[in-house]
Amino acid sequence: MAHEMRLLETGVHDAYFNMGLDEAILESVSRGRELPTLRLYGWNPKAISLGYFQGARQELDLDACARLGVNVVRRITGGGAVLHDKEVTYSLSLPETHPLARSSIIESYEIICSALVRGMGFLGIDTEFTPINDILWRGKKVSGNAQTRKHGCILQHGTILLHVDVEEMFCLLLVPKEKATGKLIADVKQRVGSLSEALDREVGFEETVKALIRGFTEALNLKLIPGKPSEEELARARSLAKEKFSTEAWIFKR
Amino acid sequence: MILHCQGKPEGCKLLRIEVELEGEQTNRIVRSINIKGDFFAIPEERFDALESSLSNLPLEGFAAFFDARAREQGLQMAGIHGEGIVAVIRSGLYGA
Repeated sequence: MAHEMRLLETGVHDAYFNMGLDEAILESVSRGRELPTLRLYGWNPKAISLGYFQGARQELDLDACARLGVNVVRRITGGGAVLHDKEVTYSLSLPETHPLARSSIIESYEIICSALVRGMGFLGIDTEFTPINDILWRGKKVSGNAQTRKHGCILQHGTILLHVDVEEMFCLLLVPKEKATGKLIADVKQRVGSLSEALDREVGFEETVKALIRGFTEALNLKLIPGKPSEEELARARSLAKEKFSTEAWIFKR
Repeated sequence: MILHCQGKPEGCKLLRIEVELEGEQTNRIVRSINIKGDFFAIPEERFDALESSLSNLPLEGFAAFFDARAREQGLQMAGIHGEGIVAVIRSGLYGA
């Protein structure tokens, strides 16, 4: 029997609200107030999210971020810094007791990422999951994923790159400028890809969302029920955005 | 001395470490340590607590202590382990 899961397509929001809503959904799912939830969303303005254990000052050129209007936010999940611009982001919240949940982090990544691999397959892109948390197309990373567990729930969120601008990444990440040219940029271009590069055409947000929904439905045997965040979740997300995710105390926690 | 070092040892993500060390080559003591990086440790807040407890420990034996304490705390980790942390510190001390 298919697993019932709420589907939220929440559109494009700023970094602080986006991270607040992921946490608010995790909380409401953990309390049993909402079904396990798949959320698909985007970012505006563009932003860099840091992994929980990263240092903002060690990873980012904060002056460049401010100058270019790039928000900086710390995630509640580990992993590396991600530039969120032309991409589709997903989050999946489900109880640790759910049949799709696994106690092992790596196994959980593998299961959830299988849905992304299936979804990208529907676009005609042959990708593979590579532990710990990446999905590769011809050896290039096209999706990074991060996971945490709180209140008896798993939250995994991740990004599927529609287009990547390596030069911009190097403007924003704290790489010595003399190194951020030539060979290093060429090397990163060999290791980071996008759906647009894979298909040699611009791949849009909506078509990717559709493919991912199909991928999740089939790979995880889901019955997705379209819905909206509850008023309580939205209020909690706004509160978390204001009181946590946008604060210096949180952003510079490490 | 305060040592800033970073590295990506076998089985680890990039680890950026700030460590306060005392003592001589054969008897170094870790007074305090701050570990940043793109690793995973769940629950994250327990890693914060673990890190705070890593003080006044001999560098010799630090790796085993870190791994044991992480297990006691019920931490699930990926991309970080005690040997990796010590390898980064040693490479900072003596070169790669």
